Order: sequence, then structure tokens, then C-alpha cells
Amino acid sequence: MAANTKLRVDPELTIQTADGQTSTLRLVENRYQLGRAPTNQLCYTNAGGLSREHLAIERTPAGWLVRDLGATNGTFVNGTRILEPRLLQPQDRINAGSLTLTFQPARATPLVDAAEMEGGATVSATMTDSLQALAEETQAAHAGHMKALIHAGRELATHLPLADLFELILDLSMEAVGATRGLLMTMEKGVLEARASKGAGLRISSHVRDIVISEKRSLLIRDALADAALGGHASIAGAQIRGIIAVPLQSEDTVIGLIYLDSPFLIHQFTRADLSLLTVMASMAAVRIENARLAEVEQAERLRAQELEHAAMIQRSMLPGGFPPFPGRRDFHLHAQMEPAREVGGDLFDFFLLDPHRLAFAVGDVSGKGVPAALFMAVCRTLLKATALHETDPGACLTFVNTALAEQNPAKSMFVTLFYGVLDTRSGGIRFANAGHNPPYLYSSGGPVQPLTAKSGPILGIFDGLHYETQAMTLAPAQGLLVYTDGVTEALDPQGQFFDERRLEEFLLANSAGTPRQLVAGLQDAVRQFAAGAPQADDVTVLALQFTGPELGNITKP
Amino acid sequence: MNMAPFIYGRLNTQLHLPLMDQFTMENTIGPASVRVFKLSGPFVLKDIWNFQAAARAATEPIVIVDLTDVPYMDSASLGSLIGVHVSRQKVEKKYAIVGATERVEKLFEVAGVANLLICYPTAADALKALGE
Repeated sequence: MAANTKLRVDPELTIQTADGQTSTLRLVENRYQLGRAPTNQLCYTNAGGLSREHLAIERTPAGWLVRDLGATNGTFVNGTRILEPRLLQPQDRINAGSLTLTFQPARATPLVDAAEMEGGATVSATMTDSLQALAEETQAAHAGHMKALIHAGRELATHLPLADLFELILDLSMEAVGATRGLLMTMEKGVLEARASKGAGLRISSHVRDIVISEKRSLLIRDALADAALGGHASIAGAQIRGIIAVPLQSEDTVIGLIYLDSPFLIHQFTRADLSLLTVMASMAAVRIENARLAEVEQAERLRAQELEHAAMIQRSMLPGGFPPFPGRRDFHLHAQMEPAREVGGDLFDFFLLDPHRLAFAVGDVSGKGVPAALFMAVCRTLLKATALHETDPGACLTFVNTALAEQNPAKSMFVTLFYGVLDTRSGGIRFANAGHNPPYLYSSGGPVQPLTAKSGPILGIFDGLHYETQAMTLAPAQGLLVYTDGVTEALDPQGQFFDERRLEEFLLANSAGTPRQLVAGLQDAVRQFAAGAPQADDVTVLALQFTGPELGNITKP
Repeated sequence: MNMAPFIYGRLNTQLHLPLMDQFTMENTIGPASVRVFKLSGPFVLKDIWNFQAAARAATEPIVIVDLTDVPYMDSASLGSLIGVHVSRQKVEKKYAIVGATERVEKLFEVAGVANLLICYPTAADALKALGE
């Protein structure tokens, strides 16, 4: 079509507010109502002197007329208060409260003007279109939009939490195009979620939303109700939405959300330049959102790693250290070591003298990993020691610990396996209770290796009211007991084989002449070599106790 | 005390874990509104959350946890099974663990829960015993 082609343009109403802002309304429908109430198509909630339902502009066969709706302060046309509907003439000035409305009749106009106002047209643009459009803007508009972009760039460079960032992006978007309502949504696991919204009563058009997300295009709709494709959609018609501008938040080729602005009352009309500006801004914002998300993930990872490091440190610091633990004693030798997994586990070992002739020792394993397991382990160890100092019977001791743990374990999904024994250092007698723990091994130099399979009861911390029985056995001089956690037998090699009890027994047979220190260190080495670099899934804890007998050394005070 | 006879090499250490196998869970409703969780692959800590959530959400009168294709589980996943036991008992609804392998059965025995958890060789055995 030639540039000088004339196009018939609908009548218009220019509305000026008390602060001098003007907006132009193209009269394409049969009736418009103006007032402070949100039900009006032309809603000016803050206009002074305006009634809730002040006036109506109506199309009639004779032309457009203005009708006062019983406004408290009245409606004036060219300075005269009207009591009856009045037919509007070109350039008539209507006063309603602090608003001034000017009527412009239909006129012929060059197409270049009409293009800006394509009747209810939907304009869409990609990022490339938008950059091109911005580059081709007039100097004045270009300066304004560049200013908005620079402002947005500066604001977006500020370090903000994600929640605040969403608010900022929406504020910048609304400010850039002069919108009064807006919504920012992001895609979370395939579902769009609102992250920031401004303005009352905003209802997003699902039709527009779907186009923006699925086609990755920005949309500008000048008059949605008049648009053949959109006006029929309930989400648009129901909300009396007129101007809509919606742009994808797109990072590279992925749409991570959208910005949606609308203008339900025709107060403000969006332009193509607004669309271009917002599309570019949204792209900047999307990159900023992605960066902020990455930073938050990294920060969370750092915090988690730090917490785990602290938990591991606390866990290790709770275990007895300093070997030999009883340097003055020659009637028994004891050594223990925990090789922690990369992720904090809940293994524990402990030993302490109940009196000069009775050595208490324990090895346990809390189910699960991480800080909860480490905390559960700490509670268990504290309970055990506190109980053992007052309750000499191992079975009774575990009965009490089980009840206490079960009471504090409402989820009933965390438990501890525990072997607890008391060695009489004069006789070699051991009284013990085993709560669901791997059977320890009896060993002696050159002798057999035997698992101590006697059980006292199930795991601790789940089932309250259980009674744990005390078992007994006697160590001969030079005989020893090796207690371990399943991190030993369930260590995996790169081929997916378990270390298992067989290799543990083979190790003990081959190394039973060693001291407890040598056995513990040797077994840890054997497990490490077996794993051959495969990730250590669990803590590996080993405690070896050898009874040497009173004839081999007199007891000294602890 | 009675010492258990030591049988050297009694355990099958030749069990090769299918390291490439990922844990999977099929969650289906069987006949007579029986909820079936069919677990496959090594069942360890990282896998328990989905199972726990699904098991806790099950409202059917009977829940069956099928471990036939679980070659190995750790203490955390044992904890999740115990969680099923406790929660089902709390609401007075039935459950059964079926198809536990030798290794998994041994874990139950060592932990002392073999007699507490309700186990059957097959789902058919479980349904028969549970009266369905």
C-alpha cells in the first residue's frame, strides 16, 4: 500500500489527568463508562472529584453522546453542567472531577499513522526483531529507551536475592513502558509460577501466555477485545483486557518465564517501541536470573559442604583419640579407628574404664548419613556412656538407651546398631549386648577366627519397650575381639564386589599375630586397597581389643 | 555361651553388583486395591526419599514391597522399610515385604528385625497370608 493512502480512523477521546498526563482512547465500541470503580472501562481510582460511576460515552445513530450517571460533582461539557445526555461535537471538552476529556471525530489519516494503531492488531517480535527495531527508532525515542536500558542494566548489576530480583525486574519493566499492572512468572519444573506482581485485579490471559512460552515470541496487543483471535478468549474478555504486552524471559534458547503487562482500562497504550524495549530488557533480565540462580545453588552447595565439614569435625572430635588410650595398662591392648566416608556418616566407637578392672567398649553405626546421622550418633554415644556409668549390665544398659532413643525418634526411620561389651581385665570375661550389629570376630594368634553371633535384640531407637539380653564369653590370654561396622564388609571394589566377611576372615587369619594397632591399621589398608579408588560409601570403623591377662602385667591405676 | 559353628566361606562373595543398574521403583495398584512397590537395583540412601514419600502416601489396605530385584540395600534403606512397618502399624493397615534376596534377608537378621518385619517369599504368599 502506498504511503500516501488514507485510512479512516475511529473517533477518539483524549483524557487528561490533573497532573497533565494524557492518554488517547480510540472509540471502537458502543459504550464506555468512566469513574473511580474498577468495574468501569475507564477507571481512574485516584482522580479527585470523580464519582465511582461518573459518566458514560455512548454511540448512537446520530453520533457519540455523553451521559452523566448521577455524579456528585456533575459532568460539564464546554463548561456547562449537563443534566441530560448530550451529543458530542468535534473538540468538545468534557470535565469530570479533575479529568478533562476531549472528543475527536472520525477522520482520514495517512497509513503511516494508522500502522501505529492497527485496529486491535497483535504485533509480535523476536529478540532479533526487537534489537533491529530499537536501532531504527527515532533519535528522541532512542534516547529515552537507551536511558531505560542503561538504567535497567545498572539496577540489574546489583547483587540481590532472587525474590528481590524478580520484584526489581518487574518494576523496571513497568517503569520502562509506563504500565500500571504487571506479572513476572518463571518456569519451575515445567510449571509457570508467579514470582512478582504489581497492581490489583490482574488476570493473565492464558492464550497470550501460551503463545509467548511456546512460540518464544513477544506480543503486543493494542486492543485485545477487538482482536479477532484474542477477543473471544474468556481470560481476555472476562477481564476486559485491552492493551497487553508480554515478553518471554529467554536465556539462550530456553524460555525460563515471562513478563506480562496489561492495560485493562485503556489508560495507557503500549507501542511497538515498548515491545522492542521490553523484549531486550527481558533478555537481560533472564540472563541475570540464571546467574542469580547459579549463584544461589553454588552458595547452597558451599554452605552444605561447610556444614558437612563441621559435622565431620564434630563427629571425629567426639570419638576418643590418643593411642594407646591406657598407656599404663599391660593386661589389655586396645586400638580403634574410624575412616570417615566423604559424606558424614554416623559410625561411633567408644571405650572407658568403669572401674580399674572393667573396661567398657562399644562400636555402633547409625543408619543414613549427613548431619542427622552425626547428631543421632552423638546423642547415642552420650546416652550410652551416661547409662553405662550407672548400669553395669550391658543388656540393661541397651534396654535403657533403646527406650530413650525411641522416645526421641518420632519419624522412626533412623536407628543405630550397637555392640557394647564390658571386659573384666582380671579374668578376660566379657559381658556384652549386641543390638543388631554385625557379629564381631574372636581371633587369636595361629588360632581360628570365629564370629560372635549371639544376639541380644534388634537395632536401637525404633521399637520401644524391648528388653536386651546380656551375653557372656571369656577371652583366653592373647585372644582378641575385633568389632567393626559394615563399612568394612560392604566396601565395594570397582567391579562391584563386596569386601564381605570372607575377606575379613582371611585378613584376620593372616594377621592374627599382630597387635590391635597393627590389625586395625592393616584392615583399613586392606579395605582401601580392595576399593582401589572406588568411592567410599560408608564410614569404616574398626576396634580391636586384645586380652593379655593379669599374669602378663600387673594392673596399674587408670 | 554357645558359639555358632564357623563355616569358612559361607557367604556368596561372588555376588557381582550390577553397578550400572540404577535403582527404579514401580508404583502400581494391583488387584483388590493392593498397592505394590516393585523396587529394582541396589537400594541405598539416595533412593529412599521417593520410596518413603510414596509409601507414606499409600492409603490402600495392603501395601506390598517387592524386593525380588534388589540385590543389596544399606542401613538407610532398611530404615525406610522399618518406617513402612511403623507407619502401617500405626494406622492399623497391612503390609508385606516379598522376594528378599539372601543378602537382604541376612541384613534383616543381623539387624534383628527379621522377626519384626512381615516378610513372605512371593506376593502371592503375602496376599494369601494377609487374607486377600
